[in-house]
Amino acid sequence: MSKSSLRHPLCLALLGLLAAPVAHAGPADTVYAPIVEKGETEFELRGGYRDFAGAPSEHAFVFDVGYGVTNRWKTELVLEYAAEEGNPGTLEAWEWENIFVLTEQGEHWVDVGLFFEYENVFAAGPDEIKFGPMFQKEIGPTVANLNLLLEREVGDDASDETELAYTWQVKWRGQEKLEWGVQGFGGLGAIDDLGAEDEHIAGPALFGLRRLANGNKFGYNGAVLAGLNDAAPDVTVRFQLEYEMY
Amino acid sequence: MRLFLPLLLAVFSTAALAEVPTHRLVIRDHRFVPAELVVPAHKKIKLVIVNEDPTPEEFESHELNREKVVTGKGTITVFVGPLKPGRYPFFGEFHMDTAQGALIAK
Repeated sequence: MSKSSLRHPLCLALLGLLAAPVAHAGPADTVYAPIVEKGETEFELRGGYRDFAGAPSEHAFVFDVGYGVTNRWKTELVLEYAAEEGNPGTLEAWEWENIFVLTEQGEHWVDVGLFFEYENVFAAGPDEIKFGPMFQKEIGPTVANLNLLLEREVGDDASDETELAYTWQVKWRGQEKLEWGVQGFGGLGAIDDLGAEDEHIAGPALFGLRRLANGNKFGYNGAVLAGLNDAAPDVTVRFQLEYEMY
Repeated sequence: MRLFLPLLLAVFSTAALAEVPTHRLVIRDHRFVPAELVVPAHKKIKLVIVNEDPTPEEFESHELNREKVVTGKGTITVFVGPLKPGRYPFFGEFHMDTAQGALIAK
């Protein structure tokens, strides 16, 4: 990348967020899609457990209530609970998540959205913001999603670094009640030193949707993810349950 | 960076450059009119869905991977495809007993 291109306004805006401590994929992380359903209320419970060789295991749960305000904006309130092996679990933070849909689904080569989250940590210390683009691409019955997430601390004692994390999945749409795919999560470390501290996990996933007699829907997905490098947990098991209603 | 912006513009200008066949679907008395809509296969399709009813409906299809609410007396646009030849059912989730239809790609 040349010095002249680095001075491009778009590049400068991105670089303004850069430099960060390592973004670790949490056990309750998920893959977001740039799709919003106006008027839909969603209750979500997701969680995960991850096991490290030679380090305490961790688990976390997230309870989430979301609403599609328009066809282009969904907002969610999230409560996170986490625990480390040998220690009692605690309510860690509340989060305000937002999905902004930038393109009409299927109109362009790829569907694009923007994710923004503000996390208020209950313990003493800085809060965190997380934002970045979401992509979705359909090829026949296959749907692929990619989220690129920039994470930065804000407030007192905040680090001046920004990290880059990612989530992705590929799903083969078959029977609505049971579909198979793969998921992956990871972090690439500080933006100004990508790859110096990174972790990557990936593995098989299953997805499904049940239509209820009252017209509402119950969705579910889960995955078993293996660590792909030394810094990553050996195994991560995650699940996600969603109840959608109008 | 020199390649990024032109590439981005190319990706999002494809719809403007290519002609996308447009088809109209009407929701009337909680039914889709026409119930079966023939569309060209192997092409991106633009569906303009007009809800003539006063109450909202949700256009949904697992086969098309689309789900979108259309307000009462409202209009929405849904892009699908390219579709292989075949039959792709859709339904109105708020009135599933009557709101049933299919795209026939040929």
